[in-house]
Amino acid sequence: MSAAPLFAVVGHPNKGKSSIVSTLAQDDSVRIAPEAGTTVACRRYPMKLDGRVQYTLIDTPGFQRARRALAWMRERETTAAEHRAVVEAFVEAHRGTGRFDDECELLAPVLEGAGILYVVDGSIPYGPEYEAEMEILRWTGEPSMALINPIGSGDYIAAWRSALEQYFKIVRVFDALTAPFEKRLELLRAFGQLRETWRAPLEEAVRALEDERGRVHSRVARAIAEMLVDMLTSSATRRLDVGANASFYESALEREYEDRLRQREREGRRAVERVFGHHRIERREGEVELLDQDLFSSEHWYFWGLNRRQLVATGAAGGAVVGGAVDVGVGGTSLLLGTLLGATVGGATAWWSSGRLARARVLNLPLGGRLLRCGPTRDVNFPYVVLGRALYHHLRIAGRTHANREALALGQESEGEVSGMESWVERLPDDRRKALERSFRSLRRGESAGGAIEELTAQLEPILAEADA
Amino acid sequence: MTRPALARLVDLANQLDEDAKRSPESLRRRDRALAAELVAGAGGAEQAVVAWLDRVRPDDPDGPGERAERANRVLGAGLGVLGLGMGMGAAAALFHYDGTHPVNVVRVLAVFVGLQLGLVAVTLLATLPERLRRAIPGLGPLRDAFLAFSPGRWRLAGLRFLPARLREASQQLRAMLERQHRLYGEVEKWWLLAGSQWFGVSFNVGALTTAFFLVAFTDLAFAWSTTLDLSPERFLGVVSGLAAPWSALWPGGAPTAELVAQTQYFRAIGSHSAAESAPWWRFLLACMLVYGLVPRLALLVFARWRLSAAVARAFRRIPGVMALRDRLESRLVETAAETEEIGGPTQRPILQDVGAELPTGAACHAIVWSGFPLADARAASRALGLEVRSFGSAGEGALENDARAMAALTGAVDDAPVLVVTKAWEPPVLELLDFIGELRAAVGEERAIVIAPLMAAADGNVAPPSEPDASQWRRAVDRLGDPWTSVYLPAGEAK
Ligand SMILES: Nc1nc2c(ncn2[C@@H]2O[C@H](COP(=O)(O)OP(=O)(O)O)[C@@H](O)[C@H]2O)c(=O)[nH]1
Ligand SMILES: [Mg+2]
Repeated sequence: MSAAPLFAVVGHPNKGKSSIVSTLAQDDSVRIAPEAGTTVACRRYPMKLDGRVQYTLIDTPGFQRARRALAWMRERETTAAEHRAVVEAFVEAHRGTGRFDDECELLAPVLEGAGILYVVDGSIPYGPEYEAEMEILRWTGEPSMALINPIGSGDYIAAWRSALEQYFKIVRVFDALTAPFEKRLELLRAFGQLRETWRAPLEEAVRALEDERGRVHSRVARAIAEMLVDMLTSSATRRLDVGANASFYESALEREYEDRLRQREREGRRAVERVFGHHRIERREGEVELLDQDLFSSEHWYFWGLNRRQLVATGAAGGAVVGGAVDVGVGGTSLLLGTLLGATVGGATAWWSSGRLARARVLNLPLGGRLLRCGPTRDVNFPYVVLGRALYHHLRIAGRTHANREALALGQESEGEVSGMESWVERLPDDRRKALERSFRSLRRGESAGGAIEELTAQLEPILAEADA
Repeated sequence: MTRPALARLVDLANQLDEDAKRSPESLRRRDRALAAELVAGAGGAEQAVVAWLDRVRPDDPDGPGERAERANRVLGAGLGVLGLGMGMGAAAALFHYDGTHPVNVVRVLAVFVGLQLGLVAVTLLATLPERLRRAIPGLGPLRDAFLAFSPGRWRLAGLRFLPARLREASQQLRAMLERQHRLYGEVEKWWLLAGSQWFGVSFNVGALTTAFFLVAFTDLAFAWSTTLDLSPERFLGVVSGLAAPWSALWPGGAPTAELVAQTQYFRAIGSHSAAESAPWWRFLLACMLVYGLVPRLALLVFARWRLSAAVARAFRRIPGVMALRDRLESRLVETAAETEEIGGPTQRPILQDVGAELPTGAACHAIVWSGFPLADARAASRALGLEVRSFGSAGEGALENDARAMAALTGAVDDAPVLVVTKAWEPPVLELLDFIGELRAAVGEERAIVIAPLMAAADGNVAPPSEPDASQWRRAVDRLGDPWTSVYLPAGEAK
């Protein structure tokens, strides 16, 4: 068998087949609903490494008429050896007739050679309606395993186990909604046990998933670092005429700045969720608050884009040229005194005149004015608050299965947890905290941030790894 | 290194900007496929990024990177011509001799040695790394002034003379360098400094060739004079010091005490002897070469090296490059479905009221479906609070059981409703709905069939279903569209 293993997830309707597939395939696009019959056709979830299929999970609709299907088959059964052929004949006879659509749909991949993963709900009692399903599956002769998925609070697992063991060699409990990552890998490994030739591809797949999970921390660290650097360095600006009353614009500008921060934080959240393959999470989270008293600064701006400092530099240079010419003229006897003097005078002139320049108008367009700036925040706690929120969100996402369709409530139902995360900084080892503080300080000061993302990523990675452990 | 560094930086920034608009999944797929084609492990991180860039953006002669680079070359050529011209002008002015006033050696030295060494010194200060620079007070503004005035910046003034396509590309590059100053500050600095050194080299080449030309083709007389109180001995000391690097190898290139003594201005003024003062030119040209051209050349090489290093660093640090390298280096693991799920949401509103209440003690015929835990008519009567006249079971074992249960009802004399008790916690599968259909055929139209999805409680009692369970049953019965089939609503006071 050179083809990659197939696994068909089958069972009674509404027992969490789609949920198990969603969790294992880390795909939150799977349609899951409390209503039966949500899955109407088989859907394939190939696991690929660099484009090469390692195994494929197949979600199927549930059995709807198992007893009648079995009755049809029984009528045509002669010897056990023919069981599989009878199932094949059944599918052949009913495909497209509208009579046994769901059965045909779910049996097709099994007859293709897919391993059978039979899903039941361990929170409700076992019943005779399952017997026909299990019997049909047994007739196909494909390797199989039963999965007990406890959906509700009832506990009938023991009863299920003894019933299932009559039909399946392997019976496992797997909670689709809450299974942690290691449990998922364990289950995949178990799939590999179903057939000798499946072991290797499944082992390889599990290794790749483990590696991928190992890279998650650095990816999340990068997403958070990018978000932090943006949030700590961004600001909102507005150009004002010289005469304009700045306080008139301040509240609007502050709102704009805050909106920008919040928008950026939401983007950061989405980036982290994407790292884990979550694309459809509905989030409920309080917005980040700014604690700064004074977010505003203003400076002069000029039409041609030089700020005052650059103007002064240019003026000084101009002065130096004039002074330098004088030096040349006197044959160097002034010992470059002219250059120095010229530079000073030029610089001072530029400084003095820059205020007036701002007021000049060309074609009634202001040549210059004031640049009102809101942010970046200087609050020393702000980066820690943002980071604490991000870490908490990360933890919640890292532990979330793709079968979970509930809105993600962050810091609403559980204030304690969040404040617990906010004090995470106190639990950091000294050297780590100092390194973080250094990075934040240099970001606050607006010092070269070329490598800031890289640096923060490296600092955050171990913090995330430890928080996860 | 097949393409010029700055051009690649522009292309990289552009490409990453474009990529930011695409989904991370599609990027991973694309880049991992490219990575398989790239030579494994060729060179360092930048090399990998460069190789990648060349693959995603096949060399496009008219791309913004190429155009910015071409603009850069044109501007550089212009700057070179300007430098040459200014050097020639300066040399022509300083080596001017019309037979009256001899060339003043001191002036030549002041401009071609003093001023140039001064500029070289400032250049060196400007090149100090940021940390050192901050430690020295006043150095920041000096550097700003220097960079603001540096000939490297004059190239920007030349922009307006370029054709629009080149100008736009170049302006885009400038905007990028300025907008992301933190990221590209070093690139910008070295770009300016390299430009300035290029200008300096051109200037010196122009000056040297002009001076050489004047020496070769005209008669020059040299003298030295200064208003400073400088004795011939002191002056000899200065020039001998300047000539020290080459005087041992080439004695002819160093002025002698005699020459210095004879060519002091007020003495020379009478004699005008060109031949006598001629040895000065060898010294002066050597000075221009060693103190003018050579340091500039060295700085040019250095600045170009630093520029490419800064570009390489920026290559590594542009946001998005880390993610890119991750995409290139890690195996592509895909687990999700590749196709959309078939079929839309199936829930539709309930169209008719399908609920039916049976008064306590009402008569009915009961069929338990699929092993609902009620053993017989007595147990059913007790649990349901109804008068169960006949009792059957269906939905388990062979299909004949179902037929038997139905047959028992066809024979029933009264027309009391048929109650089908099912497990509320199991979904209404088609198997059961088929049975209901057959039952309808068996008992005839207008006979009430009541489906009772119930929970099994302890000690043989039953309990009403949860709302979600009840609603999925109501929905299923509603879909049957049979006005005489309904869903049992346990009386409010029933357990
Ligand atoms: N609490 C809980 N709910 C589950 C679990 N697995 C499935 N469900 C819920 O059970 C319902 C049916 O799940 P689904 O995956 O669509 O079942 P399928 O019809 O077998 O594919 C959905 O409402 C799920 O949210 C589980 O492990 N825990
Ligand atoms: Mg499903």
